Amino acid sequence: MKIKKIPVLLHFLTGVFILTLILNFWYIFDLYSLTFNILNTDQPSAIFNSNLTLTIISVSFFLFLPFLLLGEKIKLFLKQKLTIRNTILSLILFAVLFPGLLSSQGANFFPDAPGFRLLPPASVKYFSETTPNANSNEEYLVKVRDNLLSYKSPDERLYKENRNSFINVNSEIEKTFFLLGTDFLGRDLYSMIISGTRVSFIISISAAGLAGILGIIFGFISGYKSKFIGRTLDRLSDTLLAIPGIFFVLLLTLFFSSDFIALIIILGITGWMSLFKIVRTEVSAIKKQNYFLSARKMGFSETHLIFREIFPVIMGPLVVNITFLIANIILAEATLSYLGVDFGSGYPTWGELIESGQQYIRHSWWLVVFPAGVLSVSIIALYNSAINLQKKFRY
Amino acid sequence: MANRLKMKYNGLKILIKRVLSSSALLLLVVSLVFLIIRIAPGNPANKFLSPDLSPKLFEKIQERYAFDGSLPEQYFKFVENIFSGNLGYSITFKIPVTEVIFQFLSLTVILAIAAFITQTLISVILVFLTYRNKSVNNKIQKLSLIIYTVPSYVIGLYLVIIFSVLLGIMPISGLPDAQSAGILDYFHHLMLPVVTLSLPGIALFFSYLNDAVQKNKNEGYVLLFRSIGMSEKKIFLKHILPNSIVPLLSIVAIEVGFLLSGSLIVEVLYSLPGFGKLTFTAFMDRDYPLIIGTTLFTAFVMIFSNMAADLIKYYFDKRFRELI
Repeated sequence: MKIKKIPVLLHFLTGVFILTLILNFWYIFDLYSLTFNILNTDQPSAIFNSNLTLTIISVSFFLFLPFLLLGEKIKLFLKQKLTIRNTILSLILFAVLFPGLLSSQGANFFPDAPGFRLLPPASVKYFSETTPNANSNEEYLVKVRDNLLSYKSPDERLYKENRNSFINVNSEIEKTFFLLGTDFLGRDLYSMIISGTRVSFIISISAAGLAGILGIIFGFISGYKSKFIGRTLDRLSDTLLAIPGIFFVLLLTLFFSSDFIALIIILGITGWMSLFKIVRTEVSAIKKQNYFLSARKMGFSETHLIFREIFPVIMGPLVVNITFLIANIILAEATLSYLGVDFGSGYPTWGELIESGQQYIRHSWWLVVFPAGVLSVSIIALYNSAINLQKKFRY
Repeated sequence: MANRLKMKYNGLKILIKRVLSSSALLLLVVSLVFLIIRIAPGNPANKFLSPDLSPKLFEKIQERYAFDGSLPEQYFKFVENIFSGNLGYSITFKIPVTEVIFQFLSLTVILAIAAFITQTLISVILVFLTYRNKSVNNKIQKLSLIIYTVPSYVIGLYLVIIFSVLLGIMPISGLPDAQSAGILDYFHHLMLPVVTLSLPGIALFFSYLNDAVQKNKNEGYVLLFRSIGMSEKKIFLKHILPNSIVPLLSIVAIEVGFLLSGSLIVEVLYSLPGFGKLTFTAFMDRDYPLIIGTTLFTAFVMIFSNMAADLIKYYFDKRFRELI
């Protein structure tokens, strides 16, 4: 499983960093000139381009990343071995932080042309953005366009002969490479998976954060303070754990409107139980231990007891369980969007990609196989890292 | 004698205790469902009717559920209605909710029973074939962990791509025509759903059973039987398996929940008209009477199976008896 020649995760990260920088140099250059233009003009752009902004943020973050990496603790973290799991997780990290660099097309980019629909993986297409001249022949336009789209290498002679009949936006013929094929609208599947990664992870990490906060607070209250509340919450979490997860989530969708934050809240509410149980048992075990009792007798304040005596001890189990939780919540989110519970994130998530691909399963297998594969591989990697952390903390 | 009598008495006590706490839980679920109808936006009376029905019927519903009364009055009426089996009419199907549920239930029951039998058989066979070969056993254990973590619809879709699209030997989805199809056609159509539903269960059963078998395989009695010359099959089936089946009993309740939620996804995937698909469409269409019906039914099944699992555990595991 282990690739022993490259011992450090840092090398891999810097490798991907340099590779994407080289591959996307012109893209970044364009972005910077674009930003510069926007900043220089007196009138701000009328439409707020969220996609562009996100990309600019990620690019600037990318360029400042080397300075961030100088920190000691991050260095320690980066000195891990490069296993398959670490590779997958760092690629996911790149996809979450800098989707604009891994794929040069936006998720919603599609050339509105029939020749681009449902292309198999690793196919190449040539196209040129042309607008007809006032005196150009309609038939000619169609002919040239069809010619461009239908041949593997475009007939340059035909194109050059008819050049006068178009106002060319891009005078060159552009070559587009579709690594994982295209969907029914001609969108690039690879870019959609990359942007779906970002959406899935933002949702699941914030939901896991919410679940973590709920679990830790409830666990502390019931383990540290009140016995009655503890018993009630324990019963409640037992009951909630007995309900199959998907039914619980579906029930909660009745309460909320269907938007992004509602999804985070729903997934957070359904995930706190396991964390609560762990915090509760750990805290009530620590409460009886000698070091804690003596610290209390010495008269430390409550905040000191909680944050200096209890928290560092339960940190290991907490980290492991939050990793499991993130994997579970990604699964739940993907299942929900696969089933078609629409929360309108604006971007296609992994589950939505699988669901829309299933309609074309007879002819285009790649629309299902790749998103489903990415989903399962990343979940397995997360589970694996959680198990690995568990071994590291030895509990 | 006295000891045995005490044990019998103890068992009865536990049975009564468990039934009481289960019924309390059921009441809690009913109250929760009541809360859902009250909290979810909109007039509760409207949720029991499609809007294009006559105002007379609206009044009838209002009267039946006491929506014009005070809140406790409404609650008691609601509970009374539910325990007399009066769940109202489904908005989308326009027939009583109980009828709809029992119409759709048969397919899910068939699927669940078939999946349960398959996963039990296959996991026992897998354990029998590999329990003495450590390397193969470890590999299967890793594979079962992967199968358990991967979502079931991904497995199902891969199966569809392999068997229906590439090989073309299985239908992609749905059921055969009701008039012309024989039992074999049904069998053919339900094969992939059953396999999809049972694969995570195989992984679960395998890991539980394997742990217990690994513990038991080097016990003295196994070595004795082997030295006598008893056949391996007989040793496994008659001696090792009965001794290691107890951990499996403790996951019966989990397994029922597994089959319920799994059948929801599998039925949506293969577009089969079962209980899971019914539940899902009820939630999607906001068909409130049907939502209440399916939720209560699911809760009832879960609570009942939890209770049954506890009682089964009590009768099989003597250590458990002392704990209570």
